[in-house]
Amino acid sequence: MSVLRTPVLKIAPPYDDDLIRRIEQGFSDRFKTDVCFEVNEDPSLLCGFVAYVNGMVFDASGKTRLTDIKEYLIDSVLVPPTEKEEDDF
Amino acid sequence: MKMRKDISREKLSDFLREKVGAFEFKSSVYYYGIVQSTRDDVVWINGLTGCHYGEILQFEKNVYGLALDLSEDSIGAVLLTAEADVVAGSLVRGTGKVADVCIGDTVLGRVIDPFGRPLDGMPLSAINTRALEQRSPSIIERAPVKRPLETGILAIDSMIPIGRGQRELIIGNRQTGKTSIALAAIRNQVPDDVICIYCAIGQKSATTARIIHELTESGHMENTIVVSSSASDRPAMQYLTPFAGCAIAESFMYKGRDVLIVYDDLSRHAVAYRTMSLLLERPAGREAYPGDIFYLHSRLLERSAQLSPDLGGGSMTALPIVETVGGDISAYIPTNIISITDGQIYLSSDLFFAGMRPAINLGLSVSRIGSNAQRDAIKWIGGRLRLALSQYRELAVFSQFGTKIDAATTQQIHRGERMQEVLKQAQDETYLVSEEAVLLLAISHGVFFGMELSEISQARKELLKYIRKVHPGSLHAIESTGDLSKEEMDTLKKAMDAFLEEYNHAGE
Repeated sequence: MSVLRTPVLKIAPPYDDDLIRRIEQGFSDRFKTDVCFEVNEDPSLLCGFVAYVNGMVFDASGKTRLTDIKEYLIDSVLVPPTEKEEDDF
Repeated sequence: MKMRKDISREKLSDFLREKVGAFEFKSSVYYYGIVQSTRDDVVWINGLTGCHYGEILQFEKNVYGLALDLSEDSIGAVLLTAEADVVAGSLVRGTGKVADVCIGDTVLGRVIDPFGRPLDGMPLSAINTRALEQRSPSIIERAPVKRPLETGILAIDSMIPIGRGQRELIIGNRQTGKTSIALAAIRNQVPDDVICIYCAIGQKSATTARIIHELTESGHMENTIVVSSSASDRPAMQYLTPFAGCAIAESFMYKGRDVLIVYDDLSRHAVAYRTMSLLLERPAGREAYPGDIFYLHSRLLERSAQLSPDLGGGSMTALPIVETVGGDISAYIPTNIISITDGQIYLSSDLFFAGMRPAINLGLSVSRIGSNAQRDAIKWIGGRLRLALSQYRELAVFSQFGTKIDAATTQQIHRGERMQEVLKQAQDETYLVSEEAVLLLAISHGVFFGMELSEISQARKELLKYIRKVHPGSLHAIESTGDLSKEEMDTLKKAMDAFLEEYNHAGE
């Protein structure tokens, strides 16, 4: 069930051809086949990239990392503080 | 959690640094799919290799769905929230998780949706979660139902007793007092003894708010969890509501606690599941319900149990509610659930409009295993009362034809009317076991037989007041032992004779 026939790479600027080539090489090694991305620039990612290959998403963007940290901090605040944390405060 | 106003900037920054330092980056690799088409809360998806049945799917803009149809070339999912943001071509992500709900003591006293999100406007800090779908306890993990769960309703506790771990259906037309019985059972539980869970499935929000208000006012909300999906929620949310309540109940049961869970009601649950199934293009069967509608309810109700002592001896007692149309208990869903449960309390519209509250039709009501759990003080008298009332109702119907009736039959009808009158109970009135035993003894001793029907309600209250004043020790003994000894019975009978004399004297 292939979803996107052409692998897509969303990437935050700045980037160059060498970086794209290295990313393609990494995925080619993983999937044991030549991967050639359709590259889309996406500044909303802040940094890093998101690759759509073979029905899978490889999200290495700064935006997702920050969202994960935000959720982690919200969860940390919602959990009642430990005795040590209470004392520290 | 206390609010801290004296936190310095340095301490807050240290706290954040420590937390962020402890954060572990996880690789964000997941399968994705593309929305093929969407209509009426159902989305067909292309892709998503490795998606599991019941997996939560994440659409763009934080819209969530539930994968319920896995076929070779596409996946059918039902949306759990608004569908406006899901369009053909948008991306879908598999979360790898099945639906779960937060559990633990922090959920007590709260109103939550099937995913454990608070609906009462307060933050909820639950740490543990439990998957909504679980296997039911096996045969070896169960123990016989032997402990009573009193509802405080005389007619039920004496003639249709419920045991801890039993599944007792409450069935009847609309507006016959089904929810009132379930709420009375919740109000009758001692907070440290039984945890109560009320699942409002597709109810009007105003109705749920009224029930929460009632429980709060009576001080029982602290011990109760309300899992709610309103009539305006998506069918998928209504479908998940009883499973969420059941998962929470199980978590307490496996900790050795006793839980009472009310599913209000499973007719609406069946309708929500039918809606989903028809939209997913599954074959329709009788009354357009899908073929697995029986399994839907049997797998839910089978999770109620009395666990063996090895597993802590906890229990989950279920009171599912089913609404009938025109009193037809032979419709598809009522017959299914009657066959799954361990008995039913049938509420009749005719009795309700004749002023009988609770409007329990004893002829069609039964408790298949509850009598094993009934307290001895009530068991002995309750069995005879049921027979006497059944005979009275038969004779009462016969006497309506204007036939000439002999003196013995007239007397039996006269007594039956009074017995029925004693069983009438206001919506907010519940009895202790000792009070129920006294009233049953009073019926068998004929205390009310010489009274006018209009007097009985008041006489019943005065009798209990009198016994409480004269023989508090007897009531205490019944409460602690659950039994009524021959000596106590004779003492109480003498006290009842004295009460009757005093009552008649006051009447003159």
